[in-house]
Amino acid sequence: MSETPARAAAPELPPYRELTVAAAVFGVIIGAVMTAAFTYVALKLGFTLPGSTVAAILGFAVLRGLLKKGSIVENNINQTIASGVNNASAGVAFTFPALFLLGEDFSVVPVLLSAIGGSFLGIVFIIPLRKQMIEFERLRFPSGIAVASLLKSPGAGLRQAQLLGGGFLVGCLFHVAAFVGVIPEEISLNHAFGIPEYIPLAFGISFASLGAGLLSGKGGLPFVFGGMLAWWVIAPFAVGFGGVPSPEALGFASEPGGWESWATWPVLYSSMLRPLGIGVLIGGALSGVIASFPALKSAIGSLAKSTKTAGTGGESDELPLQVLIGGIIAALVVLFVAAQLAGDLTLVQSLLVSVIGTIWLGLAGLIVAQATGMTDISPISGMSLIGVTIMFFLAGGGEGAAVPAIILGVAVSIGIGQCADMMSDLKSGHLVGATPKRQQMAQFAVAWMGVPVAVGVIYLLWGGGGGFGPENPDLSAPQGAALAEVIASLGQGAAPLDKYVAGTAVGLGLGIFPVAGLGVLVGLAMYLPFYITVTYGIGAFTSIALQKRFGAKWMGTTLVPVAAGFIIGEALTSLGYVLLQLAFGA
Amino acid sequence: MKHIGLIILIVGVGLSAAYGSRLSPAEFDQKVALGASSFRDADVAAALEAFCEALGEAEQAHAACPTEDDAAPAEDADGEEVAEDETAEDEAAEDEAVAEEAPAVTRESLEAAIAADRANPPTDDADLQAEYDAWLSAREAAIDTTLAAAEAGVPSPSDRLSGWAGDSGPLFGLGLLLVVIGASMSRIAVRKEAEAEGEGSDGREGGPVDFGHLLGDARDRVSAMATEFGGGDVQDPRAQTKLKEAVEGVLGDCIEPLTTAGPQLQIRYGLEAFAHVFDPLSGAERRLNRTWSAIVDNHGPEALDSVQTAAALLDRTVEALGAATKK
Repeated sequence: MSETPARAAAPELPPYRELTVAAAVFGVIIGAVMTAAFTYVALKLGFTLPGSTVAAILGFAVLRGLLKKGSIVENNINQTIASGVNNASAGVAFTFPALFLLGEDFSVVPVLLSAIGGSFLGIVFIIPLRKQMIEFERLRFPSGIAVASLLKSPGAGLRQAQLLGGGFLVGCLFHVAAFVGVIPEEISLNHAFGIPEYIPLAFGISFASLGAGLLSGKGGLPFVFGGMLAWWVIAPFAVGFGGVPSPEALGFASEPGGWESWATWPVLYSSMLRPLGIGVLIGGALSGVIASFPALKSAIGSLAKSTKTAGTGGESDELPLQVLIGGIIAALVVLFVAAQLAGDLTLVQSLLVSVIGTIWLGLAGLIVAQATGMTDISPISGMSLIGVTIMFFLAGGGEGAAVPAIILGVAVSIGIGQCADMMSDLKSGHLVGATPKRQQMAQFAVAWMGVPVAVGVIYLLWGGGGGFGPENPDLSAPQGAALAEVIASLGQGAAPLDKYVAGTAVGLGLGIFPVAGLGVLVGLAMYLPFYITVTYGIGAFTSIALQKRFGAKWMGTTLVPVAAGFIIGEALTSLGYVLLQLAFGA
Repeated sequence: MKHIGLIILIVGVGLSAAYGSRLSPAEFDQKVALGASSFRDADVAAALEAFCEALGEAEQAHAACPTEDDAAPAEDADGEEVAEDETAEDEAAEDEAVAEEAPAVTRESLEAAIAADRANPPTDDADLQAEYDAWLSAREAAIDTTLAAAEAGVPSPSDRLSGWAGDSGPLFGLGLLLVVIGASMSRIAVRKEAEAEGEGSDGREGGPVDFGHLLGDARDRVSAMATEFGGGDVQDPRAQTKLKEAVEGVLGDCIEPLTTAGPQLQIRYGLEAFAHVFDPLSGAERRLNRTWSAIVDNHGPEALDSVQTAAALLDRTVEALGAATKK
């Protein structure tokens, strides 16, 4: 092919900036700072914050503003790296504190090994699914779209920038109003209509949930219907037909005060719907793998083909398959060593724990990535909990099982977080035209970096910062404390195996229906409190109505930036609020 | 058939989820014991609060009622405030010691404690005495539930599974069967619908006919863009703006509807053929997005390279669709 005159006449330009030293260094710095801060936030509040939006905005300021040479895809690498490093904050802060709270003796070496092994496993498991989830299933990943809108904002034109800014302001405004108590965070209409609490008529004031629903549209409807089924059909059915202990069964002549709350939360939600939802999620993901096997085969074949292309000198867009296979084997060995160092496990037990843990991490990562892709809500805590439960029983289930279970649980929690984060970043990358291989290499290189930061912060706060846990109201470590409680109850044999089995069967059955991801969406709806689902549903129904009225093109040019603004506005307001709390000790 | 299948599926999901979520008999009994105990304990706490409030109004004290000192910070022998963590650790150690020494809760011990309090009324005031008696009565009423809660064991996973299967299994199984039947009927109906949409038939929106035409249109437009942009100065702002608008146009007019029609393509040609078509199509979409980004970043050569790659990938997509239709 002859070169066109124009290309010959074009001025010499340096290569298009993508994976650069500046983006990598800046991403690592932001990621490390966010990891330290968000680990503390997780111990204080029980949740962490998304790092991608913060990194993208700072990337504009530094790469484009200060250095005056950053490109859109370079800033995408910066946010990929920063969020990849920061991913450790949630995984470590939700699991590791349980070891301190249970008063167990442990060494930090297996914790670090396990966390680092989990980080790499999450990435290598999810990379082969990029084509399947992003290109074939076209999962929405609302936060990924929001970050892409932000990255593209310099060239999107004034109107779209105004829409993004408007959405951002609305998201901020309502979130601030909810924080300061001007409006409630959740509005319940039950009392007004005289409807029992176990048939919830409530919605949360969350523009991030609303934005996620707006971006999901028709695809999110099974999630909404799943929530309706759980709370408007199953819940009253269970109460009406004696599935929940009635006041009479409890020995009261009339309803004791607080019975409705008790029936709704500890019984219906925590003991019935949530564990069943976890089972449906598992079954739904399994059936998804089975149903999409030909496409998965094609996606992996494509990876193998790209590996060959790269081997013959051509450039590939994907990380070579050998790297992924090697990564899985290396991470498996690291987990095995961590299991051996973690406690008094036999070689066979260590092998079982590391192999089954790896398999569970892969499946849970798939579930979390699918759920995030379809709804922007990720059931990481539930999947981690099952991971710890499996590890606990594989480690013998006795007194000595807690340490290896939690240490391997750290790997599962971080790994599945990496799956969701990597896939969301790859979605942003797809929308800005990034090269997947460079994003994958970047995340691969930095995945381990957040681990020592997060573990160090936990040690620092336990040893020198006044401790954490339920007895310290300033730093109650809610997720770690909950895990410690679960471990303690597992020691007494309290695992809802019946619900997991039933849910898995329902999820597998739903996989036959010709709508991809139906089981995951229905399971997720059962797993979550209904008010979250309702807000998301309002967004999804509004999106459908708007698409009908204005058409698909309008949705892309108008609704997407507004909805992205909602998500970014709420995320950044949360961050600002937490920083203020930390600064003023509120 | 599709609607009947959907109705059967909904009924099946409702039935299987309703019976799948039911507690096993052993877990139900445990919930009854713990629930009854927690509500009786709440009654005891409320009665104690009422008594203590009345006592406070009468400016009297009782060992069971919290005093202001209870809420004050702990002090050491020198009157210095003890660090919060130290207090918490001490309390935890004390609790542990008490737990180790505390005898198991028995009916006798509970009744003896109530009898001891009854024998030592705090006051002669009739109103206060009534509140005090109400508290003692509440404690008496809570004896049975406290003992039942203490004895309620945690059902093992296998007990839960076998108990649930025996109690709710049959109706759960029926629901699951309906799920499978309903989902299968819907799947068959959708497949038949897709097969009925033959090439060159009615050309409904999103169907395979539109897919072919739309794909051809996208390929032609992107090829033209690549040729035109490559034929001039790639750093010319006007050429770049024109290319950016053309990319936005083809993404909105062609690529978006093509990717939305994926499920129909999947049903019609099968997953493998669908994957062969969507692999290059999605690659082309990403390359067009990269073209857009490169123009915004004023990098003409990258924009040209990306749009040319996108054109080549769309050629491959057309070939893949052709292969799928021939099968």
